Parts: sequence; C-alpha cells; structure tokens
Amino acid sequence: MHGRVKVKTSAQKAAEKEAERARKLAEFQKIKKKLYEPSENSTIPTFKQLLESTDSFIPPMSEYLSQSSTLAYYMKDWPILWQLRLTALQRMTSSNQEKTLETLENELELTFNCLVESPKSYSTWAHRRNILKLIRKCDEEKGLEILKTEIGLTEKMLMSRTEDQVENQGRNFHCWDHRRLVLKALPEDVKTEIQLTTKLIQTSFSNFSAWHYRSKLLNLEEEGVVENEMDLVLNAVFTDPSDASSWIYHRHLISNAPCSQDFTRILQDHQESLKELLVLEKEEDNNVSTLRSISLSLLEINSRLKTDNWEEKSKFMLNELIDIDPIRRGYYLSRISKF
Amino acid sequence: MEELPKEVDFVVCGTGLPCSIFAAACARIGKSVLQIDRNAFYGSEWSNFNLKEAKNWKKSCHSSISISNLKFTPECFDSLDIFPRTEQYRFNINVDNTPLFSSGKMTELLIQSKATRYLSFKNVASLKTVYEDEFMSVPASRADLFASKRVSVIEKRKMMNFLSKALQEEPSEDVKTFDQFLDRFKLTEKLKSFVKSSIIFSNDDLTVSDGLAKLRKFVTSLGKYSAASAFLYASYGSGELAQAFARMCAVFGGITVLEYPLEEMSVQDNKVTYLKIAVPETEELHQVQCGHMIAEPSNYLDKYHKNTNEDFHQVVIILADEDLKKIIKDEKLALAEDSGPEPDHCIIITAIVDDHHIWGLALGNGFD
Repeated sequence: MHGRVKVKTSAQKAAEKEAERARKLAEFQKIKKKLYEPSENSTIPTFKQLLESTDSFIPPMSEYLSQSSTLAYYMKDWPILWQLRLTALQRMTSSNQEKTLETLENELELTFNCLVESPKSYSTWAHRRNILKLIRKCDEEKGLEILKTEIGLTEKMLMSRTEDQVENQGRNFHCWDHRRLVLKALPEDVKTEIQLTTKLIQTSFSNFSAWHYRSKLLNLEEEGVVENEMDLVLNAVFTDPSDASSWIYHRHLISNAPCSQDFTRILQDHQESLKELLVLEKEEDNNVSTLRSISLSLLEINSRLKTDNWEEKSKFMLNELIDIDPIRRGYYLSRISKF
Repeated sequence: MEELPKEVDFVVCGTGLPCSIFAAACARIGKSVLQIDRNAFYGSEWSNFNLKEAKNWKKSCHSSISISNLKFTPECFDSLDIFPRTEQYRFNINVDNTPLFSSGKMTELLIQSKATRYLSFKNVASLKTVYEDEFMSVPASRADLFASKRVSVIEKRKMMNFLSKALQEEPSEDVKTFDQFLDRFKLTEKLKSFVKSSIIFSNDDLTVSDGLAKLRKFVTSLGKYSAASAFLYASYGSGELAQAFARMCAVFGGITVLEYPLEEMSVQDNKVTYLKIAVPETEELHQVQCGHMIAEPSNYLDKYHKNTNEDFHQVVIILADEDLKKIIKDEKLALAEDSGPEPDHCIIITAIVDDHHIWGLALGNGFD
C-alpha cells in the first residue's frame, strides 16, 4: 500500500516473527488435515459431505464450524473456506436447527475479528453480508436490528484513526460500499449520511470518499445548499490548503452550481479570498500542489464569472503555473491552446 | 482503632499534592511512612469538596482556615444552601484548579507511577476567551479552526500555518522576542491574543526560546488523548490527585491519618529526634521517632509559620443560574470547559488581571 512506512526490524525481531509464523503454519496444517481427511470416528463432515448435503440430509455442523474458524482467522482471503462455512450455515438455517441464530451471530463476530486485522479482504466483507442476509431470513426483526447496528459499526470504522494517520479507514472503499449496500435494506436517511460526511470532513485529512459521497447526496438545486456548501468548502481549503480533496469538491461546486445572483456574489467573494491566499502561499516553500490547487480553482471561477478579459487573465495564470509546476507543462499548454 | 507506630523512617505532615507524592515514593521503595494531616480531608490546598462536604466542613470549622496562602471562610458556603440534596454530588469545588497538560510532567508522573489506577480523567473540551468584549472559543486544533465562526478564512490559514510550522524551524538570529516571532507568521491581533491567553498562557514579554518552550508544551499535548484537546482534568476534582498518591502510599505499607495535627517537634544537632502528634478527641499526645520529617506549610508548627504576602490565590466561586456569557464581561478571561456527563457544568475560570492570577470555579446550569 502506498504511503505506508516500512518499519525496520532487528535480526532478533525478525527471528521471533519467523518462529511465530512457523507455529501458526503448523497449527494451520494440522487443522486443515483434520478437515480434509477426518479420521474414522470423527464427527466432522468432510468437504464432500458438506457439498453433497441437502436440506433433508445435513451432517453435524457445529464441530466443523468451530474447527474451521481458526483456519478462517489465519487465512482470511480463502473464498472456498468461507463458501463452505456459508453452506453449512445455510443448511442450518433452512432446516431450522436449534441455536442457528446464535451460531450466525458468532459467525458475525468471527468476520468482525477478521476485518479488524484485514479490513480490505474482499471475501470477508462478502461473507459478512451473506451472514447478515441469513440472519434476516432466520429472524426478520432481529435481522433489521442488526443491520442498524451494522451502520453504526461502519461509521466507527470509517472514523477510526491511528496515531500516524497512515492506517485510517476513511478511504476504505470496502467499508463505504458495505455501508451503502446495507443501507439499501433500511429506510432512506439522507440526513444521517450527510452528517457522517460532515463529521469525517471535520476530523480527517484524507476524505476524498467523504467529499465524493457528499456530492452525490446533496441536491444543488435545493435552496440554501449551494451557499452552505461553498462556505463549508472555503473553510476547508483555507484550514488545510494542502489537502487536495477539498479543492476537488470546490471545483465541483463552482462548475455545477445553478446560476443565480447569489452565486455570482459568492464566486466573487471566493475570488477575493483566494487571491489573498495565493499571495500568502507564494511566500512559502514546498507547496507546489497548494499553489496549483488555488490557481485551478481561480481558473474555474474565471470561466464561470466570465468578467472582462477573463481569457487573458486565465492564460496569464496558466503561464505562471508552467513556471511553478514544470512537470505538468503539457497539461497547462493544452489548456492554453483551448482558448 | 489501631495504634499509631512509635518509630518510622519518614513522617510526612500534610496530605497535599507534593507531600502525598513524596509519601508514596518513600513507601514504594520500602521505607516506613506515617502521613498525618490536621484537616478532616485529604489534599489541603490541593483538595476539592462536593457540596455536601463543603457544607460539613462549614459546620465543623469555627473560624476561617488558612490553608497555606488560601483563606477560606465558612460564610463562603452559605449560598450553597440553594442546591437541593440531589444535586450535592454533582458539583465539585476545587481549591486548586490546574488542568493537566497531556504531555506535561504531572501526567507523565501519573502514568509512570501508575497512580492512574486510582483515577479517571476527562479531556478539557474547549478553551474560551474574551476578545474585545466578546466571549468566544479559542480554536487551537484543525477541527476547531475549521468550525470556528469567529475567525476569517485567511486567519484560519495563518493560524494553521503557525501551529504546524512554529516548532519546526529554528527562529532566525534577528528575532529576539516572542512577539517578533509571532509577527513573522503575520498573525493578526486577534490571533496573537488567542495565542497569549489560551496557548502559551502568558501576557509577559517572553524571549523566543521561552515562548517556544510554552508553545511546544501545548502543541505536544494537543491531540495526545483527544484530537481537539491539550488538557486533562480529573473527573472528580483535582483533589483526587493528592488522594491517589496517598492511597498508593497506603498500598505500599504507609499509614495515613486525618485530623492529627503536629504539636511538638524535638530537634537535636539539626536532626529531628521525635515528634508529638495530637490524638483527636483526647488530650493525649502520641510520640513518634523518625529518621526524617517533611511538612507542608499548612501542616507545620504554627510558631514556624512565615506569613508571606508575595503571591496569593483568590478563589472566586460564581453560582450561575443563567447563561454565563451574560455574566462574564470586561476582564480578559480564559475559560476551560469540562465535557461529558459527569461531572457536568463544571467550569474553571482563570483570569489574568493585573499580574495576579485569580482562579475561580463557576457552577452553572445555564452554560451551553
């Protein structure tokens, strides 16, 4: 994953790690053998038996589930294992076995523990969703209740932060998608979703996902929305001009907001403030991306306001950008050529 | 009642914060410790009372008590009668009001000594100040700055820039005072006032290095236990800190008793030979030999008391039944507000007025 700092381990730490890995591998192989080749008097069904099971012929499941859970925990991206567990649980559900609900809830907890360690495992997330569906099938009311808790859990994950911000989950698309999919089963609540994006924007540094989601939730035609959003995003870009996500939202608003007198006035205010910011930022070092972002927004405002001589002014800014940011020369030249 | 020991390594007179820390440290390394205090409560000038305790204290004392440089008069607490009984445990009157810096020495000591076992803390949620007669929050973190309506967007940029860069570069040779250093970051008057009142807590003319030291303390504390806060406050009052250390002393074998004042001290060749301690509700004096003796001023013998008037703390308690914003005006006040359900509405006011610090505690339902 890009951006992750590699921690150097000393030789001793490496040896310890290797020993731990070997131990886990041995345990893994042992359990796997038990499940693939169960002994004569074992009560664990073989994979073949599981696959051949039907609603009227169900091998005993609980032993199998408890044994294979360690496997799942050690190797989370093993789709076949999850699938077999799902089959076992589906059989339990449709045959209305005792303690099915409890077993399903345990399965949820297992996936939770797996996700805490591997928050980006495709198969784990998918399995969790399947379990949620099964729970609902087993007990509709309880199922819906759990879905509501699920929304809360995704929020917790999205908001979670570690000290160096490297592992924060605000960008985890698995989590976002999971939330959106679960929401489909619940009554619509756009307000809560917008509030979540606001919370994330206020606290986090990487909030592309939050801004993007926000852009999909809000209707710019609605009264007061544009004014509110422009104010919010201006505060965001000024509080932290180096964060590219807020600038992207800024440009999105500028180009997509409906025309109105109020909006023209807002654009003019932004233009003033941004010019002031540009002057301030030009005196700093190492902020090419900030200068670029400010200029790109100013260019966007120019083309929306279309005041006198706006094309000349834009060309001038683009030429300045070529000096500041020579790597992207080609892009700026192509923009100039479009005038 | 157990007999007090006749011989110990250390006698600690007083259960104030320094004494309690000392007693705990001695007990921890295996010394025998007897800790005594003339008051019926722990903490002396670092104590806190809930309303019930305050009223009880009022009943039991007949004159004003001087706790070191503090004068508490029983009449102070007359107005507490307006609180119904059910409210008595919800408020704490703190004699010492210092919130702890999250990266400060006290916090480090609490963690290192594991005194945190006996304590719980809350983050101080916000700092407020009065600027040009207006009462407002001081934005010191990214989240605060983003949400603040009191600061222009350009000011937000300048403040963020200051907070993130001030500690990174070496200030250049020609910058002598901290004020000049602030000017380098082009901070507006309002921002400078925020920095002085609620980030470095000093209106003096500081040198660059002194100012940076104070700034560093704040910035390293900010975000340590909460993204928007640099301070911790003991959930049940600042008196809890002294109590935690006194408890630790007891856990490691020390003995702590209250309402036992020091009556006599015998000194020979500059060494303490024995002490005599009054046993409450009797005429008796208990004699104890000790290797060393430590006392805090309020628990020392009266005849050795020196009355110094250099530095005094005036405790101002404001009972408010309406919005505090209406009550606070004129003087520059920096306010810290406690967050969370317990104890709520607990507000500590510090005012820097004419070089004297006035600490006060305001209890109010109307503050939101």
